[in-house]
Order: sequence, then structure tokens, then C-alpha cells
Amino acid sequence: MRNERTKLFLKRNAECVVAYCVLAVVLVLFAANQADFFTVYGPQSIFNQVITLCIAALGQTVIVLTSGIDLSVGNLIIFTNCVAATIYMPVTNALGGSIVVGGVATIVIVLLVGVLAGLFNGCMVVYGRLQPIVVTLATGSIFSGLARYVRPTPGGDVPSEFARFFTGRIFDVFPMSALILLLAIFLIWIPYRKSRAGQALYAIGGNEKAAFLNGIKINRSKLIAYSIAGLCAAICGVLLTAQTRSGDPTAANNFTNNSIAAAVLGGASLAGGKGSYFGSIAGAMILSLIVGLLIFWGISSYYQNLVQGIILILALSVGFFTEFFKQKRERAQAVAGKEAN
Amino acid sequence: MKQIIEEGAAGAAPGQETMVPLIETAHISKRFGGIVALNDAQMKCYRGETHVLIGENGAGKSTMVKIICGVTARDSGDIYMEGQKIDINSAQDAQAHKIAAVFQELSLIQDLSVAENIFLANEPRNRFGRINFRQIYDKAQAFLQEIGLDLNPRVMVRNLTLCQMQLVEIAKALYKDPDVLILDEATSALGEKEVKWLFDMMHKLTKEQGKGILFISHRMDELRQVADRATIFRDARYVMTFPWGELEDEEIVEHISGKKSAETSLEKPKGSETETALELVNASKGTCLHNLNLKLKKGEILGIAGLSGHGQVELLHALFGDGEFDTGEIYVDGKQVRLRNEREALSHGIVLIPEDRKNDGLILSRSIGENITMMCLKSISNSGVLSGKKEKGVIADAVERMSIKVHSADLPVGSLSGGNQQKVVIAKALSTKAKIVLLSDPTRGIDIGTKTEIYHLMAQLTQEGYSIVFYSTEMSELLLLCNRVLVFYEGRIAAELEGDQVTEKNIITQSIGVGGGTNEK
Repeated sequence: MRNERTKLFLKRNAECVVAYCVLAVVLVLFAANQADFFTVYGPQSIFNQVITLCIAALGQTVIVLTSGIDLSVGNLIIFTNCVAATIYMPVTNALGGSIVVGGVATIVIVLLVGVLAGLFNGCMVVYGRLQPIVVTLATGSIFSGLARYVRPTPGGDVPSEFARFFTGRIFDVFPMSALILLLAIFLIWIPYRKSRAGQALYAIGGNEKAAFLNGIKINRSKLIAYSIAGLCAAICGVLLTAQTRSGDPTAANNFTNNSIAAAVLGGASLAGGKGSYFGSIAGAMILSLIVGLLIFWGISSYYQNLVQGIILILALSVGFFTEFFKQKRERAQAVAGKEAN
Repeated sequence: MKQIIEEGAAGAAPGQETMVPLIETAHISKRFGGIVALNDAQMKCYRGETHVLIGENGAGKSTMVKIICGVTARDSGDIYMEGQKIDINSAQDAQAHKIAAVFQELSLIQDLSVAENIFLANEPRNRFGRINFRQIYDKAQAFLQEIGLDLNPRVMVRNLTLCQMQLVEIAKALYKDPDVLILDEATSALGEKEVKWLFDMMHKLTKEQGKGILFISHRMDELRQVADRATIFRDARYVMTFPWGELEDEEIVEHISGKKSAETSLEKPKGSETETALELVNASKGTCLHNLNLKLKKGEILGIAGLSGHGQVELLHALFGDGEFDTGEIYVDGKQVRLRNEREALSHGIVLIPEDRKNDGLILSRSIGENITMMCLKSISNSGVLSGKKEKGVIADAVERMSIKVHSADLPVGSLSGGNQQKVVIAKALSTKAKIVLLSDPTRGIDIGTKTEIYHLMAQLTQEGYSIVFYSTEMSELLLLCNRVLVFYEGRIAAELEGDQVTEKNIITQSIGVGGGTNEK
């Protein structure tokens, strides 16, 4: 019984197995190249490299599961980043000068902005009856414009303590970034996945008409999904603020493309209804760590996109070929069975 | 109460007058665009009975049950439950009134497990809104065992067979413990054993628990086993309700079909005795087509009959190169050919008019003209550049020949009525000059007038040297047009009927697999 259950579990999660295999290879290469890999600095640097994309991928995964796509996530991250970098000190001063109180207040405000932005996307999709790709393409531009309005020039004032807190270690051992990832998993993904709204994600993405026939609240579920995507973008914005200690509205960023790639790499189907955050995490880690590997090998980071693209194609081909050979085998069996008759 | 239930169950008329129907609909009307699906129709179902709805395809049975379970919104009319007027506008409303349905088209989520599907939108939760998955699996396991289904609740629906999926769908409806259970062609994918299981279940629900069941099926033998009373629909109208057993089969058929009009005057094209347009020898494909041997005579309309889902559609698609046969030989005009894709089929002069007009047949947002010329772009272009003059010529010919009623061929096809859309599909296929035409249920959802036009067109085409393979879900069409009919059962040709053998009775007996093959090796 237990054995069979394991088998079914593996079957259900077969897609992310590939991603975790690739990730294992990448980590081994890291261990071989990074001198301090096995010290406390190793995990810290690795998690600092992957955390932003991991969080961005959570939001993207949720949207992709509904068979939508979020093209605004990159610009929303930049926008929230700019807001955080700009309001941090003014908020701190208004609240009495403590950078802890100011930091908490800033985070709350930024997260709220993110949720509202996501909710706006959701409303356009649900009530405007527009396609997610069109809506988020447009709102992405809007967020980018708002970022420039908030922060016409790159900069901002972020205390170094804030940066150290989010990129450092707890008790000098455990990387903060890893804790944040755990929090994202245990406070956002799992409760959401195990709620009716989470179950609705899969139903809507799998077959929206069937979901409707089953009495699923489609509009509400989508609004929740987009709000959570907005929240994740904002968290990512906060982390980016801590990492860069500034806000740059003109910064080039690959979050939109990479978050989609991470979800797909992790086994999500862009047609919806299939995928899991655990897969996306592996995808996000691979895509982020590749950059580090290129640096170890002395390859210019100009080729980062090229390598990421090739990895994506290769990983997806594995799925394609397994399916291809499976079908071929089944066909051969059907023919053989018939001849036996 | 028990006595009344028994009377109701036996369909005894005297008891019912004093009884309040469990579910009743009155004066229901529904239009889909230009097509009337229901016109002032009604039905009543009492506690403790299995009420069957019968009628031809498109007579309004399905629309009626879809209105009852809130999937389709009615234009007018009332629904009563135990005498109380109720308002059903959504699937949730129907669920709140304890109405559950199983439809022919499945509404399962492929990437969720059996148990998750059974509980979809009704998951047990704890205080924090977290779904209790362990409870879902335990409860589903217990429930499946209780109703006697051998299914693992943890398996993904995607990995089930079609038959198992339909069982899950039924289990899902049963789990809601409905007062009114609707089974719309719910047996189409089930095997014999499963059908028996379902009928036992239905017996328990109605006779022991006093629930009401609305049952739709095209298999007469199934109706015979389960029906307490029946309501007949014809052409979107209510015809009559009667206790089962009160009418002979012939009478029922007469009421279902109504008086057949003067259509019968068409002469059935017999085709050439010597020339064969298309021949299949021992052709098989996957699990859906087995050892098919057939000959299409030149100039004939070869009918393909059988209940839906027994391989007819797959045959027509395979002949058009949409999914090649695994084994067997194909001859076109005596020459052996392979049909690996649509272009190959076209090059051998075979063209398909697919059953799904809106998705496979047309590009609804493009113009009538563009749709007509879609398959013959090469013939209307000069070295790769489309010639406006040739294009206009082809379109004008087609519009005239098919008498498509339209102001301008520049309008989008989506703006036409179903009948005219179908004419565009046929015009498109004919523009390829292919002489073997595969018609897959071409008259689905179109009005009587256009249907008759299409029949005449088919007859005329055979005189011009076309050969037609004609699959239809409406038996009357096959009886009208085909001198030869192949009846499919479970992917095999169960019988080849010719001349006088082509009767409704013969086709039905063969298509439910009780006739014993006349064409078996």
C-alpha cells in the first residue's frame, strides 16, 4: 500500500524530478568550483543568489496554474523596489526614527501595494474579461511608468542594517534567504495549495468549463490568485531593495522571463492545471545558479541568456522524448496485441 | 408514504394525481441563436421513479436536464421541486437543491486525483480553511467501497480509462447524495459489468431510498431495464408522458420520429457495380478500430451507423490522414496508397467534412470567402500570389452552387446560421476537387430546410461522380440516403446492411451489439 502510494506520488510529480536532477548537477558543479562551498558562507551565498527568483516564481506558478501568464511581474518587482527604497527613510523619520519600526512599516506598505497591483490585474482579467497576457503586458508598462514616477533617478536611502538582515545569517549559521524561502513555502504555498482556493487553481487551469460545472467560484479564485502573485512580486521587491540598497527604475531585469521559465522548467504546463511550486523552486534555482557557474568558468555573463535558454530547451526535451517513446511503445503493444488475436 | 412510492414506482396513474412531483418543469423554452432547443416543454419526475427522456438527437432532452441542473439558462418557464417554485441559475443553485448530474461529456479535472475530483468544490476543511486531504482520501476510499467500485482514490484521473472516468463521474454525483440524479448518456463509455452495477445502484436509490432519477440513453435495452415512466420529446417540443410498458416499441418509435415528411421520395444512389473508389483491407488502428474491410463503390453513399463512440469518427479521420492506420491496406481507385497526413489524403482525392464544424471546419472570425478558398489556395494563385479574380470566381461558384444565403462573402463566417455555416464547410471541401467525400455527421444542429438541401446535394454529387462516406448520428438520414450501411460496434463493423436490410430495426439491433455479425470472419 505504502509502496503503491509512493509510486503514485512519483507519477504525479514526475515533471519536477527532471528539474531536481539538473539542480543536483548544478550544485555538484558549484561544490567543485566554489572554495567556501562547505562553510557557512556557501549556503548563504547560494540562497542569496536564488531567493529573488524563487519568490517571483511562486507568483508566476500560481498564475500559470490558472492557465494565465503574468508578464507584469518583472516591472512590479522594480516598482515595489523603488517604492521601498524611496519611502524607507521618510517613513522611519515619521515613526520616530527607529529603522526597525521604519523597516517593518515599509515592508507592510510595499506588500500592500503589491497585493493591490495584483488585485488590479485580477480585476482586469475577471471583470474586464481580457486575456491575462494582454492585461499583464499593459499593467507591466504601467508599473514601469509608476516606478519612474516614484524614483525618477536611481538611488534611495536604505540602511545597511536592513541589507545585512535580509542577506545575512541567523545565529550566524542559518542563511536568512533560506528562512524566507521556507516561509514562502510554509506560510504561502502550502496553506494556499491546501485551501479550496488552491484546489480551484488546478480545476480552473485543467478545465475551466468543468470547474464551472462543479460549482467552483471561478472569479473569486482568480482574484485570489492574482493578489497572491502581486504579494510575491512585492516580497521580491523588498528583497531586491535589501540586496541592492537602492531602487533603480531603469534596471534591466529578467524576472518576467525567468519566472515563466522557472515554472515551466519545474514541470508546470502553460496550458494550466499542472505544476507545483516545488518544481518551480528547482527551476528558479537552476536558472539563478547558472549565472554563478559561468563566473566560475570565466565565461562572460553576456552569455547568461544563451545558456539559460539552452538549459530550458534541453530540460523540456527530456519530457518530450519520454512521452514520445511512451506513445511509440504503447502503439507497438497495441499492434502486437492485435496480431496475437 | 411507502405505498405511494410503490404506486409511483409502478407508474400507476391514480396514485400520482394526489402526489406532488419531486421535480417538475413547465413551459420551458430555450433558444440558441436561431435554433429552438426547447419550445414550451415540460416534464415531471416523482420520488421513487426512474424517469427516462427519449427523443432523437437534438429533440431537447439534454437541454431540459441541463436547465434543471443550472448549466444552461432557460429563456422562460418554471421549475418546481416538491411543489415549491425554485430558481436555478447556476450549478451551485442546483447543488443546493440536491440535484446532481452526470453528463456524457466528462467534467473531471485530469490532473487531480479521483478523490480530489469527487470532492471538488466541497472539500472538508478545518477551521483555518485548510483542506483535510487525509480525510478526502479516507472518505473517498470508504465511499467507493461502499458503492462497490474498485478504484484507487489516489490515482490521477488522467491515468484512468474512459470507462473508469465515467464511473468516477457517477461516483461524484452519487457522493452528493442527491434527491434528483440526472444521468445524461452516462452509460456511453461503460462496459456491460459497469452498466449492471449502475442499474443496481439506480434501483437502490429509487426503490429503497425514494430518490428520483432522470435517465437519458439511446440504448433501448437499457431503457427497458430501468424505466418506470417516460417522456418523449420531438423537435424541441414535449410530446407525451407514459408509464413504461404501456406503449409498444413501434409506437414509441412513431412518437419519437413523428410523421416522416415527403423526404422519402429521394432515390438512393446505388453506385457503380464495377468501379471501387476506396477500399480498406484489414485496417486497424490502436484500440479504436479493428480489422476493417470495406469497399466504397464509385457514385455511392455508403452509410456508417452505430452508437456514437464506436469508432465511426475515428474511421473517417483516419481515412483523411488524421491519425494513420497501424496496419492494413488502403486502395484508392485500385492503387494502394498510404494516408499519413491530410495533404496526402487530399492528393489522393479524399476530403473530410469534420463533425465539429465550429472548431475543425471553420475559422469563425474570418470571412466566408476566405474559409471557402482555404483548402484550394494553390489552385487560385499564380506562382504563389493569390489571384483576386480566380478567388472571386471560386467563391461566387460556391455561394451559388450551395445557395448560401448571404449579402456578401466578406462577412465573417461566425455571423451565419448553423445551416449556412455547414454549407460553407461543404463548399470548402468541394473546392478541392476531391472526389471521395467523407461526411462526418454533417447535419448536426442545423435546421430541417438546410438538411433537406444537403440531402439533395449529396444525391446530386453522386451523379457527378463523387463517392461519399456518410456517418450520421441521425438514423433517419441513413435510411433516406444509403443503399448500403455499415454498422459499427466497438470499433468493428458489426454488420453490412444492403438494400431492404437497411431498416431502423436492423441498424439498432446491430449497433447495440445484439444482432450477431453478418460480416464476421
